Amino acid sequence: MQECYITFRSVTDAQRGEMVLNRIGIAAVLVRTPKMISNRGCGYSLRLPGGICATALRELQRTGVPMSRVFQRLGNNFREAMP
Amino acid sequence: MIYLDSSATTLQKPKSVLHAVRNAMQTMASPGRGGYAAAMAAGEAVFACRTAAAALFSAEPEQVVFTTNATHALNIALHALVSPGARVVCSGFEHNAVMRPLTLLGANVVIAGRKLFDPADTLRAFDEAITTETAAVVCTHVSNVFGYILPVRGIAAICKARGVPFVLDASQSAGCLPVSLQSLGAAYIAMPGHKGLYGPQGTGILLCGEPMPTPLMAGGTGSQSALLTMPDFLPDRLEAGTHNVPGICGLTAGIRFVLEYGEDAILHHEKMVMEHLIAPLRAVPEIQLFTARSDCQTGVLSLIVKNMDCEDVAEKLAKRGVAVRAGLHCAPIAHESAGTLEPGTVRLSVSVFNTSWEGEHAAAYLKALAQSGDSR
Repeated sequence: MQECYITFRSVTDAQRGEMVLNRIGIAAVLVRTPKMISNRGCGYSLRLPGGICATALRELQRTGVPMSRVFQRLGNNFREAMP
Repeated sequence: MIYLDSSATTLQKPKSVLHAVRNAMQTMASPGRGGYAAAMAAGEAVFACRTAAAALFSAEPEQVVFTTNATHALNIALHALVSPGARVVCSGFEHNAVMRPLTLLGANVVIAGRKLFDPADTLRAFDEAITTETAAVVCTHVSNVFGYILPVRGIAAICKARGVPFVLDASQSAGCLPVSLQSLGAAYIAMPGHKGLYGPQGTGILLCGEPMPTPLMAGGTGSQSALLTMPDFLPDRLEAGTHNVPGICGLTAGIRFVLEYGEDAILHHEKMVMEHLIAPLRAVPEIQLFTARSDCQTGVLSLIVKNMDCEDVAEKLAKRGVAVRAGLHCAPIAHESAGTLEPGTVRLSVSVFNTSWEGEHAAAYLKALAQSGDSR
C-alpha cells in the first residue's frame, strides 16, 4: 500500500501538523523521517495512507503549518511529490 | 511553616505537578531525538506544555521557548536586542536579572519612573524617555520587592507606536495577571516556571515575537542535524541540548492548574490573604508598610520594622516558622527608587496556597516582634 510522508523542519511543526489533522479526523502517525529523505539530517514526519494525503496537505496549508517536503513511499522507494 | 516567600519560588505546588514530574522521570526519554515510545512520549509531553503555555499567554506553540529560568530567558532577549552603547529604557523597579545583563552588554540604561505605586507617573516617564533611537524597552510587570503593578499595556502601546522593541519581565505576574504576547505586541516576554505557574525550579519560558534571537547556546536540537549551524526557526534555534522533561511536565501541570483556577481568582485570593496580613499591622507605629492606595499591588508586601535590621526580623520570624525574605531581593534599583536601599526591607509574598489564618498569624508575630523592643 502506498504511503505518504510529509516532512517538517522541526518536531514542533510536525506535532502541530499532527494536532491539526487529528482535529479533522485524519490519524497521521508522527515518525522519525527516514534517512533517505531527510536531506538536512534528523527530523520528524507525518506518515499517512496515500489516499488521504491530498486532503491532509490542503488542511496543513490552510492552517499555516510549515511543511518541508512530501514523499510517496512504495516499499523502499520514495518519490517526491509536490506539496 | 507559614511560607511567605512565593516571590522567590512557590514552595507548595499542586499535587498534579509532583505526579507529572515523577511520571516523566519514570517513563520518558529524550524528546525530539528518537522514534521509540518513550522518546515520542517525551516529545508529546513537551509539546503539551508549549500548547498549554500558548493558550495561557496568547501565543503560538512554536513561540514558546523553554529556558532554565526567567534570568536565562531575559538574557536571550537582551542579547538579541542590545549592543554596546545602545539606549535601553527600563523602569525604576527592575531586578538584577535585567540590570546585570544590560550592564554586561554595555547598554546606555535610562531609568524611567521611580515613584512607587504611581502608574500615571511611570507611564509619563516612559513616554518621555522612549525615543526613536531607543534600542529596547525592558520593564517588569510587577516589582518583586513591592508588588507594584506597572502600567505595561500603556508602555507597550508607546513602544508599538514608536517602533521600539518591548521586553516584558513577567516573573512576578505570570499566573496571577493577564499576560498576552499577542495583545502587548511584545518582542519577548520572559518568565520563570517555578513561581506563579507552580512548576518545578529549573524551568522558565521565553515567549518570542520579533526579531528572531541569536542563540546564547549552540548544540544538538534533533533537527537539521547535518548542518553545523543552529536552525533558523523556533523553538529549535534557542533550545540546544536535552530538555528538562520532568520539569517541563511539572510545568504543564502547573499551567493547567492556573488555567483551571483562573488568574483573576488567584489574584483575588492572594489579595484576600494579604489584607488579613496587612490590616492588623496598619496601626502598628513601629512598622512601615509599603502599600498602594490604588489597585496596583499584587500579593507582595515589603515592610520595615523600625530600629531592627531586616535580616534580624526575618531570622526571628523563621524561628517562629514564618518564612520570609529580607534584604535587597536582587533589586537594588527598586530599593533605590523607594528609598530603602540602606535598610533593605522584609518581604512577604503569598501564593494561592496561603490562607487568611496564615496571614493573621504572621501579622501577629510581626506585631509582637515590633513591639517587643528587642532590637537584636
